[in-house]
Amino acid sequence: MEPTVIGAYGFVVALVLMFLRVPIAFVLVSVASVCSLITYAWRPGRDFDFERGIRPALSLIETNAFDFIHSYSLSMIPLFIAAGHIAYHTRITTDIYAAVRVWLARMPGGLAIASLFGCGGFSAITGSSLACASSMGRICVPEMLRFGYGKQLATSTVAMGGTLGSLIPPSVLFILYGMFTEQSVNKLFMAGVLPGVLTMVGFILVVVIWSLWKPSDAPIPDELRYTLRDKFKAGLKGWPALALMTIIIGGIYGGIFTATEAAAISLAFVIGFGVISRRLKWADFLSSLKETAYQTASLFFIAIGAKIFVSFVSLTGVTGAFVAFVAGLGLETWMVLFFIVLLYVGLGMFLDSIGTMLLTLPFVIPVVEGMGMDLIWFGVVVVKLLEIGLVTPPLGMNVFVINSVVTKEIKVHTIFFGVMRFLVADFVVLGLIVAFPIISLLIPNAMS
Amino acid sequence: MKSIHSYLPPDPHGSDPEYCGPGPKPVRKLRGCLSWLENAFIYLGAICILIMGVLITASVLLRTFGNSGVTDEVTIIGELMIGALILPLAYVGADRGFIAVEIFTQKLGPRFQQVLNLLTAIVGLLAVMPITYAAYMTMVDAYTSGGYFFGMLQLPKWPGATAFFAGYFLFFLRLVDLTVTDLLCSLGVIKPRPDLPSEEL
Repeated sequence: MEPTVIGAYGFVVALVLMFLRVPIAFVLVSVASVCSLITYAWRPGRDFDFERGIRPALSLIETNAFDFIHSYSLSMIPLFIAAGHIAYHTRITTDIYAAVRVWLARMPGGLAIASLFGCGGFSAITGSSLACASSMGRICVPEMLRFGYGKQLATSTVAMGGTLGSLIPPSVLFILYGMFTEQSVNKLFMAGVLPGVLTMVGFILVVVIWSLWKPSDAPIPDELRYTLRDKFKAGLKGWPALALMTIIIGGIYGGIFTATEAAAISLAFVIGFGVISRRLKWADFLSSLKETAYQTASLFFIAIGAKIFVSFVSLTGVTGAFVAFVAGLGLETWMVLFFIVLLYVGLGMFLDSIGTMLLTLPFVIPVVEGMGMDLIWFGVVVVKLLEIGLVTPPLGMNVFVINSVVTKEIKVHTIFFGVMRFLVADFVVLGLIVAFPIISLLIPNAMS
Repeated sequence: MKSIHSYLPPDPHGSDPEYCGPGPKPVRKLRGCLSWLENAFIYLGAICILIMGVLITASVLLRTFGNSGVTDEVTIIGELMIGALILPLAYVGADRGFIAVEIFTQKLGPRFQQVLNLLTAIVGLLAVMPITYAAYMTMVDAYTSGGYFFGMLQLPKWPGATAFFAGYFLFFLRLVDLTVTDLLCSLGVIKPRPDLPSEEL
């Protein structure tokens, strides 16, 4: 049987199984294993020979499953996740909101903007948009509603704020993208900073315009009046989060340490802070580590699956055929990019971000590389698109999580309608990132 | 990165695969052992993560203040990664905590959900079986050849290979248990608890 045909069938079977809610990791590993065996055992023009196929197929599986994770640089993922969990238990993440809220209380939409800052900081430190939506949804949304904020504005702000963590370092999506495309994670982290800031500015603009256009949705609460002393006191609360971001971004940018080392130092910092401030309880420490092991294992099993799947795809030559097909179409660069955007927005509506990225990269990267595009810049575009997928209907996981933690009177469609306004800003920022690659590449190019 | 359900309000019954009925005493005992091992393995994985953090931090501090470092750091971290990532897999599997796309199937009835659970368990077995076998071969090779990593300490390869096999073997056992349970559920031999939401049946 022709390997490309096996590859195409494998891809279709994988999609069908995924839509039948078989876990993505199981689908990738099983389809790649079975199809690799068939590819090796059923060479073109020859009969099927199980004996001939089993040994190389097992070797392919073992090499990808073991060697991939026996890695120093990938250790940054569990370390960053552990730092995020412990930062949450030591209240470093929620203190960001408490600090900014005091400063912005008297501004139109001030509480919503403070929520954006809080969510951005939370999701950047913990690396999880869903955890952010779940935790900050319980803190920010009830408070905004208590002060008379509109339901759409209150809920959609937190749903959107949680997505900011995908671009702001440390981002698990960037780490996985870097590993699968062999790009520097340090550079990817730095490339995400300006687009992350730009997205934040875009969201703030949406809140301000919304508040000015419909003041009843964002009243300025009379009871929230703070003196300068209060503001400075509140500002001090945010120092651990600021220090953590400085360690990560400053340390990597200044060439003081690598991303992996930054992860370990971040973990040491949050544990040290938790112990000295007596905010970290032994039980929380243990549950943080256990939760980290759980999350990391779940995440890496997908990554292992994707690694085996990528090897299978290249074995069958499907990628080459796909690249030749795209080249044969003679499309302009902007048209290819347009189709890639459509692909990611479409898949992002139904698949989760990691699954979408790992499933598409083997096909998209050779096309993009062949057209001479910068893979660091393209990584930012992909992560931005995946970030959008977190809030687009019908899946929009952040929206469902927010919906589950707020009052029952708020329906999912209410949150989705609010999110639509922010999505305008998101697509404008995406357009800017695509049109001006310098936005992404300025900092990595200036790195020492 | 966990399933979306981890962030939704807790299901009072959890997703414990044992809900499908208590089963005979020896089976319950075996499941108890399996759960105990899964719990022990996830804590071992957690300890590996903590040790990685300590080692890398120590290495940075030694480099900054002592012009030295941790010997064979890269190899040790690589070995610890195996423990950190593979040992907790069985625990995650028992919790049905792997990410899946649920949007297209969540409206289907309980009967379909049972069949889909069975399909998941079978595909899971199909995925884990070859890796477990390959892990076994690697472990045997590490013991028989006495292989070691190049470096100052010449660290042996067997600890990582053993952890790799142990993690996947336990995961495989859990998937066998899930497959049998889901098969019996979908055949109606044992009854799922009636008060569970349909997608968890």
